[in-house]
Amino acid sequence: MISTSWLLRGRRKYITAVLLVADLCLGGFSAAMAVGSRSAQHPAAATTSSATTVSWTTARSTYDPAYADATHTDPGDHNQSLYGHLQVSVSQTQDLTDQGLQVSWTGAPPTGGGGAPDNYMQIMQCWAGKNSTGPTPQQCQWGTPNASLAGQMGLSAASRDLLTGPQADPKQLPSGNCTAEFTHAQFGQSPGCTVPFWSITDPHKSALGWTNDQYNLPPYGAAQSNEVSYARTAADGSGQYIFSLQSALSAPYLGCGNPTYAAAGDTCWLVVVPRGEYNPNGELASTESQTSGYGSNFNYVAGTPLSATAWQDRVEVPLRFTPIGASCQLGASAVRTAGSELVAAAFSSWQAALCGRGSTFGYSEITDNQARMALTSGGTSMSFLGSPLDSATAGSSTTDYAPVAASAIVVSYLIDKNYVSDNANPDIGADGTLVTNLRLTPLIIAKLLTQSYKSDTPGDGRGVDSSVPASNPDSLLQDQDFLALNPEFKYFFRAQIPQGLIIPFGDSDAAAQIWAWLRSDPDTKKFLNGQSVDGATINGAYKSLSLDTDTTVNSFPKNDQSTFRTGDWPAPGFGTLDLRPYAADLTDGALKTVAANAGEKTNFDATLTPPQATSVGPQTPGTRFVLALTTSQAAALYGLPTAALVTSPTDTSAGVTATTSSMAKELAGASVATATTGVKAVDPSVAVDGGYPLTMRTYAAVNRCATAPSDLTADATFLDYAAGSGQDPGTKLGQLPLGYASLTSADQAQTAQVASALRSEVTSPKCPSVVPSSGSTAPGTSSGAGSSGSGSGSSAATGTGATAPPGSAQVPSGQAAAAPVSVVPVGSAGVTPDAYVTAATRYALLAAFLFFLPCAVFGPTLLVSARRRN
Amino acid sequence: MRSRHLSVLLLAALSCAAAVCLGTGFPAAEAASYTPITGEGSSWAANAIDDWRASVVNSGIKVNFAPTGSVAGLTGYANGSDDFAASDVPYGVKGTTPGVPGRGFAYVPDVAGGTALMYNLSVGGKRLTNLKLSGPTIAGIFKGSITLWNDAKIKADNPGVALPQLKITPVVRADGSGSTAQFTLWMKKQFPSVWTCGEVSFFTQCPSYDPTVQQAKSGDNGVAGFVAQAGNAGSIGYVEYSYALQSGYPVAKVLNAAGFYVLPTASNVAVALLKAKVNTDKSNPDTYLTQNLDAVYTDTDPRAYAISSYSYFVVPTALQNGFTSAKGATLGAFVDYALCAGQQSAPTLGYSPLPINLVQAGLAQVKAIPGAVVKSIDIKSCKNPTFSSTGVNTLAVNALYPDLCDKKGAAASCVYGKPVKGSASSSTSGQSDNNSVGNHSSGSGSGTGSGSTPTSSGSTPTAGTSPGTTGSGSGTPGAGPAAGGSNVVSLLNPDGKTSCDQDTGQCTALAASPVEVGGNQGSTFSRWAVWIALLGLVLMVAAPPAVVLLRRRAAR
Repeated sequence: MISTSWLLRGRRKYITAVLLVADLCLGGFSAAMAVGSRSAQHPAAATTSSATTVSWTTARSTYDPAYADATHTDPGDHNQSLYGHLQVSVSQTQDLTDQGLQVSWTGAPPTGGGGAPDNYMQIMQCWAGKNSTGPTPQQCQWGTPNASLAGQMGLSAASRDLLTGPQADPKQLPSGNCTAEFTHAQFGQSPGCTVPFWSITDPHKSALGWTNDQYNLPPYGAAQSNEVSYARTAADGSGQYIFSLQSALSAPYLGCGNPTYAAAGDTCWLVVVPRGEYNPNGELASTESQTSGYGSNFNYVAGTPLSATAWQDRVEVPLRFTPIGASCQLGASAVRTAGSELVAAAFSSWQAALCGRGSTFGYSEITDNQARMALTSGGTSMSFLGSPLDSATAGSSTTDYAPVAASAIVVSYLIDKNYVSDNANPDIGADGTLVTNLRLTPLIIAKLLTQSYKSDTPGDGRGVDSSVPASNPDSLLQDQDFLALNPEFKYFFRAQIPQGLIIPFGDSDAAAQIWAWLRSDPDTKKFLNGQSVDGATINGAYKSLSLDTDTTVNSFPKNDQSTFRTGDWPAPGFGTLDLRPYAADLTDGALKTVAANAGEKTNFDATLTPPQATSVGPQTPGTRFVLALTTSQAAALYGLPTAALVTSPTDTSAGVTATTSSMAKELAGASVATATTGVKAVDPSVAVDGGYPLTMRTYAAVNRCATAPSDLTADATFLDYAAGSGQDPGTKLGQLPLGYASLTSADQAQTAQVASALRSEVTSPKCPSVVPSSGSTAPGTSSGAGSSGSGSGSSAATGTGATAPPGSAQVPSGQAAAAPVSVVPVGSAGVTPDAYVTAATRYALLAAFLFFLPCAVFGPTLLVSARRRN
Repeated sequence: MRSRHLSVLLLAALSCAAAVCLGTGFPAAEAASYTPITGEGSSWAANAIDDWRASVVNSGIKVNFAPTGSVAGLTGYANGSDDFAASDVPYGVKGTTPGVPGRGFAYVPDVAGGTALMYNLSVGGKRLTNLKLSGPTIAGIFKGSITLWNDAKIKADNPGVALPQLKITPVVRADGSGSTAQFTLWMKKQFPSVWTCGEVSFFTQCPSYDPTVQQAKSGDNGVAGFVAQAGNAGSIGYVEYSYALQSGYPVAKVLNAAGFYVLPTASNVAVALLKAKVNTDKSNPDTYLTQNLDAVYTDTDPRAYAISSYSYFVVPTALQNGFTSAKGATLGAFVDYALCAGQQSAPTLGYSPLPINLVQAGLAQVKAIPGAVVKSIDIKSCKNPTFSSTGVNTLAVNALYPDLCDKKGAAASCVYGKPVKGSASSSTSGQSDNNSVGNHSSGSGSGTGSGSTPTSSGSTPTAGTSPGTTGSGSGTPGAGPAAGGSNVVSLLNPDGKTSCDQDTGQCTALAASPVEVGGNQGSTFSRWAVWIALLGLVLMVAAPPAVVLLRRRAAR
């Protein structure tokens, strides 16, 4: 019998040591892998809303014991008496990522005048260290304002700079002089007094001083920072802002969602600092004189919100981010899929969950038409599309369709109320806040899509070859239909008009759905036909497109041919695409809305070499008016409000927006069968009470007989997930992202059925011919004609392979010539017991075993030796 | 004494193991924080770059990219406002691109593609999808000397097509563009008597530019967006093929040196670029890996698409202009992804994947990015779809031959379905007449999808050939049964080594197993781990009593 002493005798002890080290090492590695793979676990049940509301008095008492009694205020801070009823709400505080966050408030004193004289909110994102109750001013992303905004504010109100001398905040700088920790040495200038920024990435983050020049400048600028220099409060004491939250992907120096920092106990925060009417030194801002040293906006509230007196009035909301990164191994072998962007966000969420199960899926965004083409010409193992192949193209190909997502096309907007001063306006008190209610009819959308407002054509209808009728309204602001539905726009500054409706380039089933919807409205159909409706006639350049009858239109034309010369533009001047360029896709429309930049390029700079057109740049906050077609998912992610659809300008209802319930109603009430088995379409002409007409299903399509068995197995895994946990709505990775509606149970059943059909094709093939290798991916996918199926090696192979004897059908795909894509061995899932054991569990098992192995060896032998000694 | 010995040994072993494991382990943890990076440039390559950007998000990488055009990209990189640039053309092309920047840089090829001539033309009320153009005709159109679609030169390229008497509107780039540079370079080198403007990145600088003739638009998006308007019938513009695919408008077949009109498909581009001369003089970073396409233009392979080129990333080689090693780690990982797994999506989008030699050279450049995690960059684990064990580009080797009807001088009455090499075959074998975009109304386009049914090869009367004899031993499914046609005549592929079937272009000698086919190591390992662990657990439970039993027996 082996005993411990035997193991340690002579050279054996070295062997034993090496074995032990190797064993523990492998164990350690497995443990590490277990931890590493764990992050993409099957998600928990759907999250409930994580929205929260914090009252100012509660906030005050939680982080300052001196104010445990909410009625007590700081006698040195006159502003505090203004905030007694302030409540701040945040739309989501869990599972956050790079997204829009709705921050709203009530009970605040209304902002005066124009710009930001007093009584406004300042919003910023911060981090805080382990064991701290909240962030310090040094830990907040602040102080790099948009220049035009800063120009409408009091001295230093948008910056990190501390006021000194007689203007100093006595709580911050009791002597009025800058202290060492805030003194900012600037080369060649007198030192400044400013609150430094501490990055979470700094190794000395908890003990930073202001001595090292390295920390003098924040690692962000106006282009990166998400700070809200000021947000106005309406007369009723309410206000709202869409805050662009940043994960560590965008702002690594805040570290939100970075698992390393989260594990170390660091946290992320939203900080809202209300600003009142008093300056940091306690003086009423509106009484300051021109000579008081507060600069040009001398009677505006001055000083940084990071200064102690303002900072003590903050409202903090803790934020929890989705851990970023580790869900999918970079560059891992992937099963290729491609198709409609409507599935992109859901795919990304599901991908993260599926990665943890050992299946890596890749997705490329292509148009529905390209996706249909890929079905017959190869290139992908699965395609996502809105409508099926037409029967002529499909031929006898065996394509299975499985619904995977339901979402909608929406008109998102970002509009600042920018009123002329007119006391007849009942909403005048909300001047400077965001529009939160917008109602549109199909006709109005048709006018926007056909450049039938004069302002959407070069030279406002005065261009050469102009085709827009002169009697048409210049913009939405002159459109009686629009004003009837949205009366507050009567009081908008005339110059504040949208840069058109931002629409995507390329063809899509979504575009076809929108045109179908527009045609289904009688007035709109008349308009598209060229008749005058409600004082507007279609732009002549669109009349010839037969938009009222042509059901094949599946893109958004920009067909106005007119040109306009202004400034230094050479003849013929700029055209439609310079004035109203396309967005890259629907999601890009949402991004352009958030950025308030439609990409207009109508300036011409003759001083450049060579002289060229230049961008107009983004709209200035406060005067924004952006409308874009986008997806319900993108609008939800970026927190953008979306237009409610009504059928007539005299409609007094609130209209219908794309919500999970309105989308579900539409799917339930307006689904119609198509010529293709397993594919339903939403007929927007069917009136569904409470249904959102632009709802669409997205299908996963698999050409079963032209897809390799390993890909079929992977596809089945994906579909099972998509029809199962993937339909649980929520913000966690793996769940159905906001803005999608869950599939109906019938749809889910259909998808599960397709999944099992794909599996059974693998186990007992029914397809007549050789299934090509997974190598179908690469060669010449785009080369072939969609209808001829040429171009791809695989299609050629299958085409002729029909004559091959059955034996040749058994060629293992693994040996495929030109199999360019290595397939994740999902197919082998059947031979190991790990089908639903996560990688993490597998590693953990091995680690546990390896760690206990030495005990198993040494334990008994030690016992034995102990007995012997006795 | 002995037990002390043992505990010392145990301790040593444990600490040693811990040190080794902590030093090498936790592969996933370090990937968690990538610093975001920002770049701008080529709109020609933007569809591919956007695809890669979207793909790496779930791995924690954020890459900002603005398709502002190659010249803006090169300029932005040079003045330090970008972490990287994307450009179709190198620095320092006289009169075309900005001079070599003071900032350290290296070129990394990122994707190949064809500059496509997307057009908007109807004949007899139907959209034309089979337009053929020869090089001099194209040069004449963009110069403005060929002004009508029924010009004799265009008619000569398109016998039998009733071309309308319609004004041609050439659509060009308004911004400083690498595609303009590549396009004009091709015309300058090939048709100097027609194209006299030379190579330019700003088309508007050409003396022949007349804003009332050529429409200048910003970005590939702007050019494609213009052509894709019904009202702009008669327009033709140059864009990367992917933009035409997005809009569903057709692109012209361009005449190559072999006398065939071909499309800018992934495989035709790959074939043509076999002839690209890539500068391999490492000693000069200003030109290393830049392309000389002279031989591409004159490639006599019937499949070659002449206006093919590579696009490049411009990456930093020094920590300056705000570029940190943290950003280097991000850029290294992103470009590594782009060159390897990212190439898989290229054909789907309308690009052509890079071949192995450029990926290899490119990855070496990536390793020179300060901060790039060198150990994770390895050609062996590169999932590029063009790789083969022999190093040839599988995409090029497997490219289909064009149809005889696409040969210069083919009769107007030519019926598609006859590939250039090999005779009677169904159209599923050769390149067809149709664009894969646009409305297909003509020709043999109905040859049925993927041909997955027996009837699709029905046009091959002698399909009885035994696949057993023609199929190669290497078991290439494409090659074996592909013999469907009776004309199994092997021919030498341009690479000089490979024997390919004429009908299909499938090459049999090339048992092109990819360089690396395994799944990721961890995944395979983890699967084994279950077995090992289970086995071990059984042993742990069963072994001690068994040992005890054995000992007792032995003691008796």
